[in-house]
Amino acid sequence: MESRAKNLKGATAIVGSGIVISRRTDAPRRTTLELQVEAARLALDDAKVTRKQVGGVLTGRAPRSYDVRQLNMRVLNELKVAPVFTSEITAHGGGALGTLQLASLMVSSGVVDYVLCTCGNCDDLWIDSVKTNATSEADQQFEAQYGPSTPSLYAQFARRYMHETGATSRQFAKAAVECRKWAVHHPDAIMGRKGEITIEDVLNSRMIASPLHLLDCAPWYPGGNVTAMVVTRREIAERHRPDPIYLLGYGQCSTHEWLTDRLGLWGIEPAENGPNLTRTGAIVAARGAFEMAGLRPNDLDLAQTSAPFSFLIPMMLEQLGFCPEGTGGRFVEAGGIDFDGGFPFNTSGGYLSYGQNGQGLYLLQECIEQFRGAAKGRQVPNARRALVHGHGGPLSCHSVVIVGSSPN
Amino acid sequence: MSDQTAIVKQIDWSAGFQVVAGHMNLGLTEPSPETKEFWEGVARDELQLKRCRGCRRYLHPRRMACPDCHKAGVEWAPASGTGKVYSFSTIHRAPNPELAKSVPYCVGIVHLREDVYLFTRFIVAQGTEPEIGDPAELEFRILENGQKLPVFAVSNRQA
Ligand SMILES: [Zn+2]
Repeated sequence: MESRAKNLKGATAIVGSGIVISRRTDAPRRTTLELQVEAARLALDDAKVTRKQVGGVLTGRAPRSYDVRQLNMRVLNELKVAPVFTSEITAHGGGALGTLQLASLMVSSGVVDYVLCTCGNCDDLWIDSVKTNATSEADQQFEAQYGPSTPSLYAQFARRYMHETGATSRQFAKAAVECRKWAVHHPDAIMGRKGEITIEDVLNSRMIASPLHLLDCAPWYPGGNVTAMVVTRREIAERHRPDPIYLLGYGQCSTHEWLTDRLGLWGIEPAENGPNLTRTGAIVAARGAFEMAGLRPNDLDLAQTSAPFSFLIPMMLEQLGFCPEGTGGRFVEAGGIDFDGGFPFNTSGGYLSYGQNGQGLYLLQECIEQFRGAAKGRQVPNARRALVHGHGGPLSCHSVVIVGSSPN
Repeated sequence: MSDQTAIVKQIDWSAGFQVVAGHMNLGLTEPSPETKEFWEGVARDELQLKRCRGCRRYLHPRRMACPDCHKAGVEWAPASGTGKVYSFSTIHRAPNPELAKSVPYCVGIVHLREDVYLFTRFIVAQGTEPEIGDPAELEFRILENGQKLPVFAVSNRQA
């Protein structure tokens, strides 16, 4: 399949960004709206873009702790901007990177010059995500009544993945161990201060939903974590700053709403050859991103993936193209993503050790820090190109963005 | 089964649910008249699936139309009640206190003989887990929330 979007490679760039982190211990408690607005103002200031210049406003979906319809309207209302295009991008956790993709399409078409994207939440400042999340991840009528927890929904994918590829719990544990090694060097990673862990620590931690142990599961980020970014065309970006972050390629794919419905999909990629749980939309999203960028996985210096459970690291390594299909477990076992000497993967500690935040662009923020040489203790030498993967729902929506410090 | 003497709660999924927060009525969530016959069947201990009138493919009870021949329409058809374990997970940490009394319990996906996949509860011998591919037989049980639901009993092949 020849990409018709190759002209978009490097045509648009992130020209400003802002991240705001709020911890449970902060007083007074801060709301999602407050953090979104603060991050947006930081991003606009960083980009040297005035509110008068904002042509588009895109937000991720409203989080559970700030449950309003059309969060984008609340954000633009507070910022007192008057965009000509605006929307809430609601592809679950895939919507966060989706805001950047749509922003890029908007500015590259020329209808607007600057699009502000804000994504994030502060669920765990206000509510207990573990308690509220389980029922909403399942179909109320045909799944939730059977009593699934969120880990047990993801475990269905894990079990099939093990069955079909021979991947083992030990290989999953190894992925969690490597994530923790990166997290030790990130000041905002919530598991970093707990120090390194071993494969046995993971395998001996209590079973949550077989085959997933406690340390196979990501903790929710205990607070708020909101990121905002400003996207514009390359020629404008280069007038604003010497070091824009170029969007080299991107892709997206959404396949279902509920887990069971994933098995009602056939005759279309990633289920061209019939219903399955082991080929996700990440395959399609990554293929689109690489084709647009005209790059291959070994052209990249680092990658971040949305992996709330350890088994998703080997699974996504395959589906994003870093190792052949069916070999993710063995790739991890053989040191493929080792902190010492492997491919730099989840360099902030990933969801497993940095903490999971439903609607974040913080994985992308990590790439920006790496490009700018600001990732102390975990700096990847000469980091110039990176892939970021986001997903949401029970592996429903996948977004992939490839970014670079130069436009090619 | 002793739990069959419990009073069965009925949920009318077809009418949807009012979403109320304090004094605010936020609207109606997910009215689904298209599944009414499914729950009427469950009340009679019958499992029914949707079936395409065009290609005759069986479909999940939720489907309103066949994705390939949506003009053909769908009808209800009885399921054989036999299938195989497609995937599963034994839950040790329950999502709420009502379910905590039942741990460990096994949820998963059954692949029916009609080539339809259903989320379900697997009934297994205490202290065991099923295996992918194990035969599964339909039963009806009242689960923790008081609803009668189709579940599947697993007979381990290795047992
Ligand atoms: Zn049909």
